[in-house]
Amino acid sequence: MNEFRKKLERKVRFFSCYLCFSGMLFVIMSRLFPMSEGGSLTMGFFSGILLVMIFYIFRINTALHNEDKLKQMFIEETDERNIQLRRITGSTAIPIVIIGMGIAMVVSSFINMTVCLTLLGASLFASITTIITRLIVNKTL
Amino acid sequence: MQNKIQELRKAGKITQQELADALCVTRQTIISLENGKYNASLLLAHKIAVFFGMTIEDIFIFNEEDQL
Repeated sequence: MNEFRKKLERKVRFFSCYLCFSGMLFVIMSRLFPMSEGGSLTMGFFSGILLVMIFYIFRINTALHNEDKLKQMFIEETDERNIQLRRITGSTAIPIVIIGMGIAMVVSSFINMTVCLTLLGASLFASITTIITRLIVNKTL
Repeated sequence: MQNKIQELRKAGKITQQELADALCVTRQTIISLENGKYNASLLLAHKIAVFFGMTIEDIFIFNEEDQL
């Protein structure tokens, strides 16, 4: 349980650093460059991510100060069925996402080349990340 | 793989939540185990066996035909 507590504390530190860094980056970028078309949509999406992170920080902090909630969180996190579910959904979802992006890439190549190249970059990134992760995990097991 | 978890749990008048808490798993895992939808790992099977004071073979019925 102590290890889990330390892991949660690390998570809180990481989320807090991310929040501070992204907030600073946003302020600097908004000062340097005027907001482009569709910028409000991006900002809304970004704000959503930040809100989710704040929610997680709050949730973890509550658990860190309450033994019952910490135990419940520990059980949810270490439950072997949940771990297996995460593994199966992850390994199933990634190929579907890559295939979906491939189809979207072909369709977008007829409409907008920038979108097509962005999707190509995203697909390549997802594929390379998956391969590297698998290689690393393969060595550890 | 079939198991006698539900039978043993009811005989001992233990709720699913109590068993889940004792084994450090979620109640959903107990439900899935009892319904035969999920096969426990060796570690969990051992914990269950210790909890009921029995051996793994007494609780879990391994059917080789299911694996073929």
